[in-house]
Amino acid sequence: MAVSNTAEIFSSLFGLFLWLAVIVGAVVFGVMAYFIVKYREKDPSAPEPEDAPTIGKIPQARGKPKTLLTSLSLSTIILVVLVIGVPGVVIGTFQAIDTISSPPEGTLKISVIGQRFAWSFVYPNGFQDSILRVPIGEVVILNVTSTDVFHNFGIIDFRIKIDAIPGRLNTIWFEAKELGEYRIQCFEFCGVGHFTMISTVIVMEPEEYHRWYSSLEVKT
Amino acid sequence: MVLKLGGEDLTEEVLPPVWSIRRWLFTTNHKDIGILYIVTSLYFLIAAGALALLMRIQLFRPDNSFLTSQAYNQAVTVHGLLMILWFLSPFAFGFANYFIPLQIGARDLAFPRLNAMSYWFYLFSGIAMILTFFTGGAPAVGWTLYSPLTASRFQDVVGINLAAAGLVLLIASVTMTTVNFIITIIKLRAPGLKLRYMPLFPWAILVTVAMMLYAFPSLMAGTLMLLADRTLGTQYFTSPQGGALLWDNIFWFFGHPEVYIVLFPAIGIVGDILPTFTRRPLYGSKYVVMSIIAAAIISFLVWGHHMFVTGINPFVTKLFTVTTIAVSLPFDIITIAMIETFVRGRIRLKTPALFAIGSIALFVIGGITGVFLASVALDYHLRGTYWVVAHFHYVMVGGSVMALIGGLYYWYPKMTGRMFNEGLGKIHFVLSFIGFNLLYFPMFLLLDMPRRIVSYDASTGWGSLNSLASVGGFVFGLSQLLLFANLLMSLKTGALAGPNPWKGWTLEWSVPSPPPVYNFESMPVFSAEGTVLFANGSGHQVGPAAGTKHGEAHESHMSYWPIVLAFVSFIFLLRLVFPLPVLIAIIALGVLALYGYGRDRFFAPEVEGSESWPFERIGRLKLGVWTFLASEIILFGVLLSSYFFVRSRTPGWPVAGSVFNIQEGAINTFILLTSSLTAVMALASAKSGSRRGLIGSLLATLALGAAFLFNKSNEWRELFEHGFTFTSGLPGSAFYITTGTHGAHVLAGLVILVYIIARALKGRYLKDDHHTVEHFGLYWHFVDIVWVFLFPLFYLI
Amino acid sequence: MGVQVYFAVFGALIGATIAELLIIGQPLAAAVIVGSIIILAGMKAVLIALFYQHLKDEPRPLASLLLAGLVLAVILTTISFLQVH
Repeated sequence: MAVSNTAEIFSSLFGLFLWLAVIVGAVVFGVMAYFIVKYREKDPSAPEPEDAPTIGKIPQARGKPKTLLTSLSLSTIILVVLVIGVPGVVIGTFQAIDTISSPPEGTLKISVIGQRFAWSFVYPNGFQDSILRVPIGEVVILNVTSTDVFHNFGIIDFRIKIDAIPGRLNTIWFEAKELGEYRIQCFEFCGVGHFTMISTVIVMEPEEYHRWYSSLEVKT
Repeated sequence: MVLKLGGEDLTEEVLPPVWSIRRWLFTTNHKDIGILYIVTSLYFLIAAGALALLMRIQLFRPDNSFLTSQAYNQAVTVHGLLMILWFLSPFAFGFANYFIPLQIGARDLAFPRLNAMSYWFYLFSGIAMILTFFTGGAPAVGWTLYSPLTASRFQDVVGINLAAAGLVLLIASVTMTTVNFIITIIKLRAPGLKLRYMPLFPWAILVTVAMMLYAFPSLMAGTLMLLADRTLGTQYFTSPQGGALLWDNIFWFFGHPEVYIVLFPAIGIVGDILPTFTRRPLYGSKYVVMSIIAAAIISFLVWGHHMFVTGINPFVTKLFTVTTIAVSLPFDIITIAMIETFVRGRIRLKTPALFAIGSIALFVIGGITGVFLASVALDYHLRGTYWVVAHFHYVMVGGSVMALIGGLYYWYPKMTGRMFNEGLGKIHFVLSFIGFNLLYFPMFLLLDMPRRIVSYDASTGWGSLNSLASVGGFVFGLSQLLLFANLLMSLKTGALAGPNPWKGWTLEWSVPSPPPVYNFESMPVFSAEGTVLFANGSGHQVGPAAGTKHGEAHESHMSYWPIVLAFVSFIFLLRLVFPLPVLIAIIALGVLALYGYGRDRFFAPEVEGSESWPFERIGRLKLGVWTFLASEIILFGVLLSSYFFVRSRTPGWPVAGSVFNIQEGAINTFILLTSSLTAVMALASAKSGSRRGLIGSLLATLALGAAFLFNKSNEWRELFEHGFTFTSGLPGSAFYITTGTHGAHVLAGLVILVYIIARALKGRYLKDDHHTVEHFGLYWHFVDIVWVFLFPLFYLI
Repeated sequence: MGVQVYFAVFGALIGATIAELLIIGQPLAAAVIVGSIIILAGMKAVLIALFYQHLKDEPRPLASLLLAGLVLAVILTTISFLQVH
């Protein structure tokens, strides 16, 4: 069960890629192993093939495109990769890009500010905290930036991350699907404290969330 | 230690013996340079490998404190830089240096002194990199040198400036190598050796250097801009309008072609090894070559996949997804062709073949996992994680290094005249292969773990996979000791190798092991009937066995100036980084060395009747100058595209005429255009034999060029007085750095012009001897063309 | 190639430069001015290359070598611009 909608997007696409990878890999390695075993030199004294490399002879062209294609096992790869894989991969990717880059209408917009070496979250009412709290099942829009160097804001289990670049506001969004606490970490090297740039996102029940939110005292 | 050299008296006359230091300091012979590159790059392999093992110790378990964060960050940065730039390509080009002339039937590269110089530039650049550890801290910013982290205010260490200086020297070396190999492979092929008969290794190297030609100038531009930011206070990479995205584009425009640059020579080596050890020609070699070319072209169109989650326009990320998937397709064809080569062969699983086959297998894994990264959607999770680390190590180490080691075993008998121990070689392969997979496969499973972190806490659960990887790292790393032990031992105790122990067809196997200094006793001739004949001195004369068109007794294989010029450049750049009291001395030495280089009585080995399609009608040196200018197009192209990029994002850019004086710019334009006229008139005078006309035109060009620089310095002085300096925002940065780089090119041209005028006064360059004037003109007109664009772009709009 | 050609080209170069200087004062849209100036600069560059560098007398593949660099620079400029606009 995916913990967020973004995790769902990732896992289905990743699954498709994984299947293709395993099939292609298995075929390629299987064929390679088969050929190497079948055609290895068994008798050193047996005559060489007619076109064996010899000083003074320019190798003749070998192999026609037709044979390449009709070679049964290898054409499987071509079929899988070209006909099914590439369009599937491209279409799936385009759909995902469109989804991720255009957040639906949402009221919960939180600013994420990266700096060496901590994350800050600024809520709509101006409250600033070092922990991200979100309600389950609601669209959360994050506007991410940095005050110093190039960081990357990533919520590992949500399978989402976005670069935090000084002077830019980058937007990502998600909808959490399971309660719990999830790890946030910086994924772009930013200096000696890069490995400590860790935070947490707490996914709460909506009622509990709104109780917490309204109880905040906001300093102006 | 005595290495037997073939060809008795000639060797002793033209080159000192192999144990003398003089030999190695001043040699220009391609085989010697090849050995220098191979040995030096193996040193950097060991240094960078040691850094990696330190990192693996640190990451062995959670919350480890074996290395401090700063030490780890330096290690990870220098490991990457050294491996990619100071090991992978130089190692490959060690083989290219040694074997390309042999494989194409030449006696040396087109420009042997330039070749030597490129090696010494490479060596000094590596010394600069190593020195960074001893100057208060090596760079600790990742090998990708992302902005704004590299800015002075975040990195207060001189190590980055020194590393940047090292990069400048390295890129100079690469540019020299690039020009040399393009001219060599195009113009110096044996008679009848049409491009379609060339083995795969020269093809791969030709495509590689063509890519280097257009990729490295981008890194040069970026490095110069970074140095300017750090030392002059410009704001290319510290401003939001430039900053991270500007560096990303400049760096990866170089960086992506670069990763194929380190891969293609390995593919070329596999393409040579497979036929020899399967006893059949390479399957579909024509399509393999076409695929390499296609991949090379597409590789310049995919750089944005390193920027997938930077928040750029989704349309552009979709574009890059398509191009990135497209670039994987030629590699499918190459892999299939290699596998088909086995069919109905007689495969001899000797050590070189094992490494070649291992390379294919590991490259397949690396390539497939790279396709995952081609999808933006997957990249939203995989970016910056160990999946990426695993992917690129599978292709760069598994694909490239394994094949290069295979090449080392393959060509070792030819270079040394000895066979290595085959049993030890096999053990090395097995341990390497197992260690490699133990080290890197777990990293795919660490797709949650960020890169470049010095440590992680136990709650992440990343500990056991990291421990496994660290163990694998030591197995892989330490097993390389077997390689060194084997090859060093076999120098003394290995069985003597004949000319063709593996029974290959490529021409290096037709000469003794090791080859004589002049390579071929009789030059090879390729015939359309599919045979290679070896002509001797009578009848089918294709070139002297010794001697040159100048009538000298010997071909030259030594020169003092390459190492001196490299040393001068090294000290000069050091002087820019550190306040050493050597500026005047080093400039004087440099001028002397340039003069010495120009007056050197050096006779590059020549062969008549060489195959040169499609550049038959153009001379070698002229083609070399044009090739160099092609790389300069990218250098200025990147500077100008940076200008467009930042200007389009900066609302308050100064209106035309408000800061820069249009009149001064226009006057300089007229001056430079006139100097182009006088330069071409000089060439016309030279060709017609008019000494007065030649000297007059050259002097006029010099005067006009000097006037240009004089006006420019006045202009800059005025601007500075009005407070418009390097630190005056992006308008200042773009103006000073772009026009300044152009001005430096003008200055360099004038220095060359002074030398030419001095020689012309002595009566040179008349009639058929006009080539130097022509080549100078090509450079000078190019500099004028650049100004033709700079003037309107900086002054008029 | 006669010397007269060099002078003719020089005349064209000066003329084009003067044209650039005149265009910026005209009451035209900014895009038109910028476009015209770049085209004029390009024409000057081509004239210098073809006639002063004698590119028109060299093997055709040489021009491809140089054009490839130009195309790549234009691609870099265009794509990086599109990324952020």
